[in-house]
Amino acid sequence: MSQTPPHTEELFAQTARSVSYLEGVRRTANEITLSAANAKAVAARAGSKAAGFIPITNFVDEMGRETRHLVERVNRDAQLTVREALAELYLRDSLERMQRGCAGLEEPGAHLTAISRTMTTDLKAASDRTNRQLVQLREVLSQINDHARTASMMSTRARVEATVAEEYQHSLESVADTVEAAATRIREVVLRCRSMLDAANDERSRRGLAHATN
Amino acid sequence: MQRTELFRGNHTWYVFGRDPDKLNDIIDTNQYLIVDSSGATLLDPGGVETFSAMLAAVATCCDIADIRYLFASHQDPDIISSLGLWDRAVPQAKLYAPWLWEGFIKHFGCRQIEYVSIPDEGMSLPLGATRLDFIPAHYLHSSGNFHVYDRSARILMSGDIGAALEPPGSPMFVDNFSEHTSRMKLFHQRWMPSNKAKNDWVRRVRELDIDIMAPQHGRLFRGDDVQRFLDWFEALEVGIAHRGGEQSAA
Repeated sequence: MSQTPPHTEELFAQTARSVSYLEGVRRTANEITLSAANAKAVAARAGSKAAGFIPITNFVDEMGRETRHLVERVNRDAQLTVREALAELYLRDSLERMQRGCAGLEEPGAHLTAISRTMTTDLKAASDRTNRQLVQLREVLSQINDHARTASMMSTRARVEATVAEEYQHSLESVADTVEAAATRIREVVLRCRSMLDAANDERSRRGLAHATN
Repeated sequence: MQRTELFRGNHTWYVFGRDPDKLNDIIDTNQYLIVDSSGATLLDPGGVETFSAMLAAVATCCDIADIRYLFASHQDPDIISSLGLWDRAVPQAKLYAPWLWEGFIKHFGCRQIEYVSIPDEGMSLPLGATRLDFIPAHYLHSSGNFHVYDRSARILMSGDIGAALEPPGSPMFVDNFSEHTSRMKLFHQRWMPSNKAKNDWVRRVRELDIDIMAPQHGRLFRGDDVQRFLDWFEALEVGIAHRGGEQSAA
């Protein structure tokens, strides 16, 4: 009978779930890039009336591209974390089955003892790999969060610039709103992914299966 | 896990099964172990869920480190899904299994154990003073399938042929053949897809000298029950599926 600890399964499941959430962030990052392109076109038509707007759109455009790049990276990292967590899960299950078999013996013998010891070492290494992967994943999530926060700030500045753009004010405010909404959605998803991963990993840490990733 | 000695001579045959700790919703399986002067061989070592019980049971018959060979009659999970665990326990061993299933069986985990492909026509494996013959049993039921014949012990390990679906704790040997056929009929009709393959197998197996026919599920046949089984199986129409209340023969 499988005795796989639910906390390891939980980490695996939560990381797999965050992969699908992060796919949504990629779409949102695309929206930011599109909005920036749109804003550039409006600013070009507005000429000197939107002069202060152009550096902002350039910045948002660049930030949208970087966010997309980071989302691709975070997706890869999340998938690697899933793989590492699964390998750890499999090793833990294998070790338990091996130990259960040995428990039925009066004397497991040198061979089985050595195999169990090797498996324990391998499990520790797998657990360390999962932890390292989680640290990396959290770092990239933090970077995405920082980008989204900056996008939020830039949208506020864009609104100020829009006030002097006369007949273009409405169009530019609309661009600022889109960027603001996209940034908020990204931050929500990142926050949700981080809390899911943290909760699952805290449980592992509590049971001594992982190092703290903070 | 119940252990029964089937043969003792220059080498020893054991069957393991009727595991009292087995999960209720998985089919009971028979696993076989041959111990000779050069090492040990596991035939159809079983599924991942039976591994712990098997490890403990096998260790009472030989040193686990002495297991040199594994054999898988075909690719089913109840036959060989424990491979990833044996791969850990006996990394130096070789697995003999149908060539057809190499890329599939390795999904169970086969990083260290060497996979030796058995060609369609079968092959022999020298084992101390004896040898095992891997007898083709394709389409019975798997499309790449082998049985194991030991001429000196006169044992035929017959995989799913002769299998029966029985309640837990049933005896290890058939004691009343006529009564036993009711436990085998549906299994063979449904799982065995080809009358042609069945009849060819019966013809070839009739030429072997067999004391014990040892299937992977249910009871073993010995003495006259082996011939009784061959007669019964030869007469049985297989490859029958029930669909919408109608029977269709393959």
